[in-house]
Amino acid sequence: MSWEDELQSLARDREDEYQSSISQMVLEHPGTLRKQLRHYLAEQANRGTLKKTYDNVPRLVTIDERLQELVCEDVEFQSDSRLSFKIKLEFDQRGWLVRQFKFDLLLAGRSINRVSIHLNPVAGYDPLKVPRCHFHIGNGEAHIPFPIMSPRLMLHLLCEHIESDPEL
Amino acid sequence: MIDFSTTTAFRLVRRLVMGQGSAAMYLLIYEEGTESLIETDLRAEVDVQLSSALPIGRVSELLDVDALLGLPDSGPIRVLRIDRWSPDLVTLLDTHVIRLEQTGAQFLFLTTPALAEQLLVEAPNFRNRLTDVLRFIPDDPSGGGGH
Repeated sequence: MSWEDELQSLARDREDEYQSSISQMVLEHPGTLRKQLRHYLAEQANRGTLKKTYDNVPRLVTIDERLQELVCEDVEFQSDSRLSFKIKLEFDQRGWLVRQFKFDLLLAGRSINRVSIHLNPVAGYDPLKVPRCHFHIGNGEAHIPFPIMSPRLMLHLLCEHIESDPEL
Repeated sequence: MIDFSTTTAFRLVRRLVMGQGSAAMYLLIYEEGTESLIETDLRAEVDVQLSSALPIGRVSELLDVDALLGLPDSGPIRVLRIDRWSPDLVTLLDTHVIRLEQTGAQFLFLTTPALAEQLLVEAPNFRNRLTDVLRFIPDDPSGGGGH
């Protein structure tokens, strides 16, 4: 096997692990997850991290009976940073599973202007170049592999650790 | 009827959380046909924001004097439906409202516009002790109403 083929094989293994993690991560009903995320954001507002409480964020969009999407167009931090996200959830016999998400954090007044964490709906043609779950730093094109985790943890990571990091 | 401020379960439970430890009594007026939705919202918000279950009873349970005076501890938030007019009940509520207050719990009385109007007129002590009277509407998951 060539060096390139070995790397492709390792990357495909990583994609299989992503799929396995997704399959095992059964989430709450999207309506409940919406309330949990809204509550988390409200707590951030209580602590003065966000500029205000957002009563209707995220919104729940029903695409069809097995596919729903949680949409947060924009919440604003005291620092003027802004966060938006979309989380697509799919129902199968195990329950509600995450199918796709996009978290985009625009950092105000920092050396890095943006951090984005994306989960693509399916594994890409070239997992070496575009891992299914990846993050972007700034406006860079590099797709850096990122672990799959609950959207609640993802939101916490962005609000508590990335947005508040003065070194970024 | 007075046009009371509007609230949802999300906003109300946040308010209750902020005021935890202090007695409060809210009269919550829902439109006919929304009762099931608002009770579901209320239970879900208490579960998410306070990690606790929310029993919802009928105010007629207070006609049992032991229940009124003893008020078995059923958590910091107590929800009671007022779903029919009863002069005995209103008199009892009006007479013993201070006892309810002294439990230190947060009481939510759920009722319809017609019953609320009657109650506010015929139970002045109860009315005067209310923390707020609010129009209680179901949450709109699709985000209607803007933010």
